[in-house]
Amino acid sequence: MRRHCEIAATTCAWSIVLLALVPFIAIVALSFMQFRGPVLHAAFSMRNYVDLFATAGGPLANTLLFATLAACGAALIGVPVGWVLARTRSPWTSLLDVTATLPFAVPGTVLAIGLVIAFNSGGLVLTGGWLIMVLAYTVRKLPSRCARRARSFTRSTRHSKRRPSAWVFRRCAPYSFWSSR
Amino acid sequence: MLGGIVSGRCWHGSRGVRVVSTVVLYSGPWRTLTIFMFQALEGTGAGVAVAAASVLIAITLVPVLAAYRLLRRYELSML
Repeated sequence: MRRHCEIAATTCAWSIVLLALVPFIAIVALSFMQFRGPVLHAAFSMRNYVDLFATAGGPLANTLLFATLAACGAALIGVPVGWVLARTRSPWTSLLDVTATLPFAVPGTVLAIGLVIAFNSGGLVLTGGWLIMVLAYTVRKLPSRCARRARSFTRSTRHSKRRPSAWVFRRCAPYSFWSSR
Repeated sequence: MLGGIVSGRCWHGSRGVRVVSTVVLYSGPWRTLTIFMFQALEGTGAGVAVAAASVLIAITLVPVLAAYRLLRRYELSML
């Protein structure tokens, strides 16, 4: 009976995963087919990729660059914030938690318009440049970054004795910070 | 903790460049692949747009799989 339940659960899990993957599989399959306008022809070729890399080198480089910069920025801000959220308790921590989570509640378009208005004039003009896009991506994804780090730190604190042992062995806070899993 | 940072970075890198705010913020030379796809779909380059989408999927998957392979020992903090 238990074996049947395991098989049923595995089948169910695989079905859900494969169902979620169907759009991705369809996109990859369609990318090898030929389009004539909006009409699809069942002729497989690499033509789409040849055209893509001939025309989209700049956008591809921008995508990789902006995503990398935004990820580094979010890591630099999010990891310390997550550490503070998980390891300290005070009214300021709650305020920091709410502030760090706020960008989740703001739609991307609203955030973008706000950034355009904020950096359109004055001493720091970023509108029309690449930095404002990196800023938007960093701010937009910061809450999840903090939440993930906070969860990880909380888990490590709950199940390990690293902080007391770090204290006993006169290790500094960065030791327990970096050794947490 | 390294696993958490790397996986979060991969996830952020893959999800960061989205069309939602980019479509408002981008200017001529700074368009990203999502904007390129958007413009290609509006024109007649649906095939190129789909190929760009496939490249984005690959860009997303490769770092995540690499991080998973390299940092399996830190799997707990990658959740």
